[in-house]
Amino acid sequence: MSVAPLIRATSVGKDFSKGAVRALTNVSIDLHKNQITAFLGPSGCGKTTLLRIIAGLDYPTRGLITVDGETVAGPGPERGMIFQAYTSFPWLTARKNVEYGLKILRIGKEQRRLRAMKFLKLVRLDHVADHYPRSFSGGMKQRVALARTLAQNPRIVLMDEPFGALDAQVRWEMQELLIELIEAEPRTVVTVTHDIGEALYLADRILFFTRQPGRIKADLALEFKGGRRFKKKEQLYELAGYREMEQQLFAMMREEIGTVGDEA
Amino acid sequence: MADDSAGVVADAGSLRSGAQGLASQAGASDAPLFRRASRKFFELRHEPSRIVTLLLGLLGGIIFLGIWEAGHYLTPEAGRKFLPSVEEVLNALITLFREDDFLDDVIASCIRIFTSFFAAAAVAIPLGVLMGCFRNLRALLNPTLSGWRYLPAASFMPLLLVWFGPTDTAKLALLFIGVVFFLTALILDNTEAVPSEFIEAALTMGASRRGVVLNVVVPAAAPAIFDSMRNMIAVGWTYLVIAEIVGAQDGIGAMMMRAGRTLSVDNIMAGILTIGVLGVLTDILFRIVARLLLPWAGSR
Repeated sequence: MSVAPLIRATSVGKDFSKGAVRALTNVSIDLHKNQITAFLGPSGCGKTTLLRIIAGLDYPTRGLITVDGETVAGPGPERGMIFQAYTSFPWLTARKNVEYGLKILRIGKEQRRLRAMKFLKLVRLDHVADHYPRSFSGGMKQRVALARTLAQNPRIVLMDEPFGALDAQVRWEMQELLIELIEAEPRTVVTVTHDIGEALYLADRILFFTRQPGRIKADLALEFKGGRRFKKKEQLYELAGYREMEQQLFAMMREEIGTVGDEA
Repeated sequence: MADDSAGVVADAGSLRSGAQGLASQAGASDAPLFRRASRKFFELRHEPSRIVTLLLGLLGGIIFLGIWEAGHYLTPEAGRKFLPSVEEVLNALITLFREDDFLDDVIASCIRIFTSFFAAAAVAIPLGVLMGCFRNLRALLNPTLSGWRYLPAASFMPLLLVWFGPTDTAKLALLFIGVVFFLTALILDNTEAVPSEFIEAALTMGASRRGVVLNVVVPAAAPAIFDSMRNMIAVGWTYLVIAEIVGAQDGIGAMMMRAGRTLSVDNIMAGILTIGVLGVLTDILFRIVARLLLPWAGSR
């Protein structure tokens, strides 16, 4: 690809506990505009750490991250983030939650309202726009967070196991909703997951992480998808090459879990 | 609904055991009834209905008054005036209000409690919230503030009297000292309990630090802060009498000290009763205000 990457990590390393734990070593990657990339790997492999460094919530011990050529120095609204924990604010109604992010961008009152309602409609929460999230299910709370982040129109959407706390059925519904939203308005998405099926369905490209120290074990282009994204998750299972890829990822996952299991 | 079905199941069970007519159980013919009642009463984490809750609360109060009353009548004639009966204390209370301007004392005490408490809150809330947000500030201030919590507030009374004399200022200062350090510690905890994801979500949306503190941390911690305030104003009431002992012309505590000099135990107990009732009313007031100001937090 001749196009300059949107996100570039150069020899990024991150230590915790004064170097006692090496979460990441020597990670260099380029992430391209409007691609969906999944960071996949077993728990504790540093994939979340890398995502947080891109978000500007953590700082690398070594190396640097640039977005559009500029070094990341802290969090900012052009890099929206969705967390695994529910972050919809309980003291604001669904609509006010979405408006909160727009207020930060100094968007006028009338525009805020219109834009908030538009995005609540996209995540199918317009009927409960003036309800507090206390009475919402986990999936609804996560949709508030999704609407709040997307309404800010970020160039990059970072997701840290966004559907990890949801039950299985709601999880695939949310995955399909995410594809629908990104297809409607293309964005660069980086999602962290340890769910192989989720990574295969959502991503255009999978980066597989090893654990402790975390580094990239494999960079998989998912050619079997032929550059397509699918409305329904089950469409994926019909593709030639899907099972092979799934098996390959399972094998890599076992390998990674195994290395730590042997130590114990 | 769930209660009913549980009851039906229990009944069916007892019927079956009755039908089997086990010889070993026949001897204790009245025991199962008591056991069934006690099993029902002590059901783990079972929530009684509103009416039962109210009745049980009243029953508890009646038991307390009964023990008090029994204590009075079981005391030998000569000592009875040192433990007056319930009706004597209530009579004393009515007389106090009717003839001795006790209402003025109550108002004076309430003003002292609320003035000193809101002064303490005005210091403790910003201090607790800021320490909860900025670890360096906590490291700077918290060790010193924690030390103050271990000093009994009452021991400051002589010092406050030297500084301010037997004035209202001295009393307010004591109530303030008794509350402010604990309240700060509680609000620090409340603030630190705010999920860091809330803060990080706001930061990734581009919020400023100031915006995070004011628009995220404060509202997120507000329900817990209200609970802390509600609990600490109760402590304020417990310091009231100590504050009003010395050189007070008015207030519930002053009345009780005067009554103590004439051995009017009924008036002393009327004072204690008044403080108890006012404390409960303050608690209810705080709950109502919290519900009005923070409707999203649900009933607490």
